[in-house]
Amino acid sequence: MTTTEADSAQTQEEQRIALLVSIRRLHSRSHQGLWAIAAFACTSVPIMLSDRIFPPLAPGIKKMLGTPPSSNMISALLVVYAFSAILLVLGRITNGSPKMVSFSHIGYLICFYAFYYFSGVLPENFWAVLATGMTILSLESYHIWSLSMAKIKEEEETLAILERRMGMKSHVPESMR
Amino acid sequence: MFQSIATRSIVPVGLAVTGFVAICCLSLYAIMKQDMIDDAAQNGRNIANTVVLSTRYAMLHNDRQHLGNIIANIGQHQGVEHLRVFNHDGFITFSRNQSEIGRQVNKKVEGCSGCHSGSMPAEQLAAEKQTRRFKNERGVLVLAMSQPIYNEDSCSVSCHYHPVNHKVLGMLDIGLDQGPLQNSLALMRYRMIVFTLMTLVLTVGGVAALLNRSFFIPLKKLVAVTSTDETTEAERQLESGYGELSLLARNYHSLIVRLNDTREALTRCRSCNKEKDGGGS
Repeated sequence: MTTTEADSAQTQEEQRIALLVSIRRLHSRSHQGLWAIAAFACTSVPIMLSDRIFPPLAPGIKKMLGTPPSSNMISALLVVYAFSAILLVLGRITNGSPKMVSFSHIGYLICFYAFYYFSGVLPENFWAVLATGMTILSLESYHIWSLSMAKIKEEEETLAILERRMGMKSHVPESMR
Repeated sequence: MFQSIATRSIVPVGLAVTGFVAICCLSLYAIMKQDMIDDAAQNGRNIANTVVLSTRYAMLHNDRQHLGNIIANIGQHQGVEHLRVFNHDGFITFSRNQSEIGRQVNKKVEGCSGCHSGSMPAEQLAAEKQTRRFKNERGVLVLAMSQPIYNEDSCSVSCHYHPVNHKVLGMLDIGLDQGPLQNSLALMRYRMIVFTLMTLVLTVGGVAALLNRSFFIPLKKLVAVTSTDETTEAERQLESGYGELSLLARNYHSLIVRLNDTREALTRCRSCNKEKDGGGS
């Protein structure tokens, strides 16, 4: 083997390793949405049992916080938020944007839980907030998953070509080659 | 399966529509429920006010028998779970249920704590704080309202023993059965679920059916025809009526025809050359 051939073989091996690492990273990234859903579900369970877990707010704290917004106003805001967030995710799906699942949604949804709790109408509105969270996070999760899967397919095709060139037995399934 | 165009087109639409309709229905149900409870509470407060006004004359004349009869008669009304009058010290002086007369109520329980939470009891209370919901000992969901009986000039000056500094002479407490309200809410919930399901089936089903008819079926045919070199029946079907896909099928068809012509020409050319070579040698 000449020096040039040896260098080329080394570069191909490096490329192959880089592709394998990228595929592994994409695989773990495709599950990121599920982590967000799980985190939101874990946050929602104690909130659902808030009547039994958290003590009622002391009158002093209530006085300090002031008059809470009306439940109708919070519900209207929740619907507007859900509408905007769903539109944004659908926009990202249309453009094929690679933006990751935004965990900030969990923070916004916890704020909604808190507002309903302080207004004293959390049990009536709990399911609306849960449905909002599940819808937004499921859509984001699906978007990231399908995008990652498409990228994995591309990378696996490139890997299959590279391995064929290197004369190796391919790691990629037969159907992908 | 999840990577197919059909799944990729329908899943986000289905998720977005289903989720948003569910969010709107749940929020709307919560708002309507709250409105109905507020209406029921307002009705309850009106009844309590009517009872206070009806008993005013008997109270001014300290006619206890008359007062007891009014309370007992109104208390028998369908839907009234309890009706009682407390005095200034929290003792039940009149009640529909004779056995509880003379009992003292705990000022720390819900319904009393609104006024009695501070060192000095509040004399005025917001309307919504006069209302409370709970399950009574018979397991009935009750919406209860407390209506203060205020001291008036006529009480302290014209008749018996109430001093002027007693702002609140007692409290009228009425509890209404929430069963009919709960039944209405259950019916509304059931109707909303049916309506939501119908909307979802129509929306998602309609989108899926339209996509299937105008995109997925011709796409399947296109995939089938592009998998072979020969002109098939499916290809002929696809050549009109499917818009851009028909155009694509026609282009593909003309490409195949040109390719076949070129192949034939090449074959002819090769055989010509062979003949020439054979003739020459």
